[in-house]
Amino acid sequence: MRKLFLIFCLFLLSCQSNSNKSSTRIKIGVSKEPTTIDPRKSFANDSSNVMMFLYDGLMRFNKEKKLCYGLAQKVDISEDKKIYTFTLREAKWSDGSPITAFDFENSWKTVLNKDFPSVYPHKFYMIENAKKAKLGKVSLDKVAIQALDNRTLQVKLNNPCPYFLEQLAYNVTFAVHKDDSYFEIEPDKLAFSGPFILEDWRHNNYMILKKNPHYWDKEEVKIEEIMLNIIDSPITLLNLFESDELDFIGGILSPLPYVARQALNESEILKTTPSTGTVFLEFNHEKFPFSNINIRRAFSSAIDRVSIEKNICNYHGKKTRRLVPSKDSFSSITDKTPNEYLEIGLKELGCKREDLKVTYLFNDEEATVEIAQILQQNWREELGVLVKLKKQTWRNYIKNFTEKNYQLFKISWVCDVNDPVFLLNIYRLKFGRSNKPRWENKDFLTLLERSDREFDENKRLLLLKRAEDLLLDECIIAPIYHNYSQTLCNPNLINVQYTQSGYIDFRWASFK
Amino acid sequence: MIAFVFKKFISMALSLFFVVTLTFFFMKAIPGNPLLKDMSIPKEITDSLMVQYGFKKPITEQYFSYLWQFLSGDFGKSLVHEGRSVKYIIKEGFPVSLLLGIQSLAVAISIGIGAGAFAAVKNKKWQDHCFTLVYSLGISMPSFLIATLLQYFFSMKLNLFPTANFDTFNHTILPTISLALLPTVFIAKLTRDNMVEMLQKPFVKFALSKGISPRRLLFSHILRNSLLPIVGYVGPMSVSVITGSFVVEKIFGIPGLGTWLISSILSRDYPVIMGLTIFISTFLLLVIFIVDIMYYIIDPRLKLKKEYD
Repeated sequence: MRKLFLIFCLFLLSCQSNSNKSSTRIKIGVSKEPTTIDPRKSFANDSSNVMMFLYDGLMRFNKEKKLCYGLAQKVDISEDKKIYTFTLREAKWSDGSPITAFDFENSWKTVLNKDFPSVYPHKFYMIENAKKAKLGKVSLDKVAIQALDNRTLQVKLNNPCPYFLEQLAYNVTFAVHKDDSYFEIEPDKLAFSGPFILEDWRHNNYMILKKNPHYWDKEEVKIEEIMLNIIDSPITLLNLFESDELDFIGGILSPLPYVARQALNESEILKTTPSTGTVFLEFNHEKFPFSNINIRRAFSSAIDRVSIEKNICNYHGKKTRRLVPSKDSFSSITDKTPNEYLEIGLKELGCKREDLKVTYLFNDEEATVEIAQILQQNWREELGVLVKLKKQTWRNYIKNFTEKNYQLFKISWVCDVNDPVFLLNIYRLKFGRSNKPRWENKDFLTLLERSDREFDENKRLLLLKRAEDLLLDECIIAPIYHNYSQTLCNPNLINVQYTQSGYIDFRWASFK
Repeated sequence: MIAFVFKKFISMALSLFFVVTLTFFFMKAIPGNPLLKDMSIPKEITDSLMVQYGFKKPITEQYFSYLWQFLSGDFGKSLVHEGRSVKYIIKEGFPVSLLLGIQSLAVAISIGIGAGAFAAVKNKKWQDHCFTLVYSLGISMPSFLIATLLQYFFSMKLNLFPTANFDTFNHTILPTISLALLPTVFIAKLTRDNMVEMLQKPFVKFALSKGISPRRLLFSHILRNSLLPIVGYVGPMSVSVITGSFVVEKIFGIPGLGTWLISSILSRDYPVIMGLTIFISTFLLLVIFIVDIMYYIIDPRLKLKKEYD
């Protein structure tokens, strides 16, 4: 027996995991396997951050979070701000061949090909004939994207677009190497334009990225290898981080476990970055009872934003009554109590409080569930209305609100580009892609269109603010708080960059 | 024997057909589809994608074309994960699940039978009472709790094992224990109860009175007889252990089939759901088939019964 025990002890000792760290290798926790690494097919958070490791756009963000040139060396913008002429720098793909303007032309036009399964072609719709080509109305040759020579790319827009350059720092606009057929096979034969290249990929397990020897800015890249550890469970990722097996978790790459938020809040290395986005409710203004503006106002003003800011966001996400993040976004303009609004609304509708049968639709994330409970309590206490809660999995949830099968639901937006027009664009057109309530307002549209043509930045922002006031006045939405992202980083790892839209960049990172 | 195998084989094919059909229609009945990824995708784009993937065709047509595709040996490609065929997913995930499954099975069977036999011999002594206590604990503790506790104590606190991931043998130890615990206590209980029952049979007294050594009696008579019901249990259990427990895979970050199955259902990745369901059910049917044949071979009474009929 004693011998057995000894053997067992020896066995345990031999199992001791020894982690020896090299100073140019970082390990990052990722919660979801990237669904694709083809930037032309990228869509939202999913795999886009990984693509930013592998590809460079014409533009990019520098260490100071300022927009600067990436693969472009300079850009000439015409007087009317419609024609952009890019001069590319002398850069190479990771296989050593030169990156040309034709690569960009081909990639962008493939996205706009009506048969190509791209999810975000509308990011190019400001370019002349782009939308028509995607809908199959004109041929791809008519799209105003043209490589004049190997290093010159010319693009013509429909209207001046102040955020066009910023958009070129994000996924869908990255170019892939000319031969586009190889995305169907395993990625080891791919060529990349970014700071890192894909070395190995074990699905649902890990990805290994190596420094790109041909990257144009390779002197700046200090990290030789990135290991992306793909693990679904946020708790396991946190455990790995705490046992020093990971250097970085959180943010867009892997949400931190919601249950541990109080404990994490006291941690000194927790980093919070505000992002350009908002969490808000949308009312179905075509259906009883939210067809009435005063009922909408009652429900919106009854929300206890202070309590949500305290209990859900731990003061990291700022409470708000506005859609676009700004300094005074919580200032209130209402003069009536929620109950007074409700009384007026009920009188206008000619019904009683008991007739209000409201269902609140939300998805099954932990924070969202807690918000739903707070909201239900607010509405019961302030308005005396018991709202039914309906929790759904993500796909069901999307299906329900795309089919307008809701009265009231929660939605969260984070913009790729840091410009107020992005959040307002949601409601620009009645049948626009994200205008789920199908709200339409001529004045709102006119203001947005005027802002499109406005060259003076301050005047443009003023126009946008007026448009936002109009939207909030109609109370189609009830903003709650502004989005934020949280990360945990090894204290020795420095110079990790966070962009406004929550992307995390390791190209300048290094160990102390 | 040949007739028996043939009959079993036909019934297997029929079951598989029903599995394919039911899964297909149930799967299509879940709301949402693989293309509804995000709320900001324009309708014309999802529409054109729907046409490209053939989701706009009548459901019966989709069913028959899938059946045809399946019969010609093609499981299709994932609609969510770029350029990944279902066969590739199985090829990558199954060996992982198989390795963990076999390890857990080996642990479960060896420890289960050993502990069960020990408890049966020490029937109604303190060892047996301890056994009952451990059994009740083991049977009532869900695997996610065990996995979390093991991870917390053995890797976070004592730093003896890696926290997660699938790499070396050390990485597989904690997941194997978490997966094996339930089958182990179950097998142990089954063995103990059967053996206690056997010990009271008249043939035991007869054998003892003829002067057989207790050791020989235990191993070649009692244990062998008590193991028959266990063979029946081990079959289906091995499938559930090998095809992976989703929860354990999730906690230890193991790239097995369970993770793929759940994520494919959540993302409505039709070809992957179908392919994995068919693969797992074929595996289950095969194991049941083998168990049936093993019964036939091990238990002479079955053959006799046939002849008597």
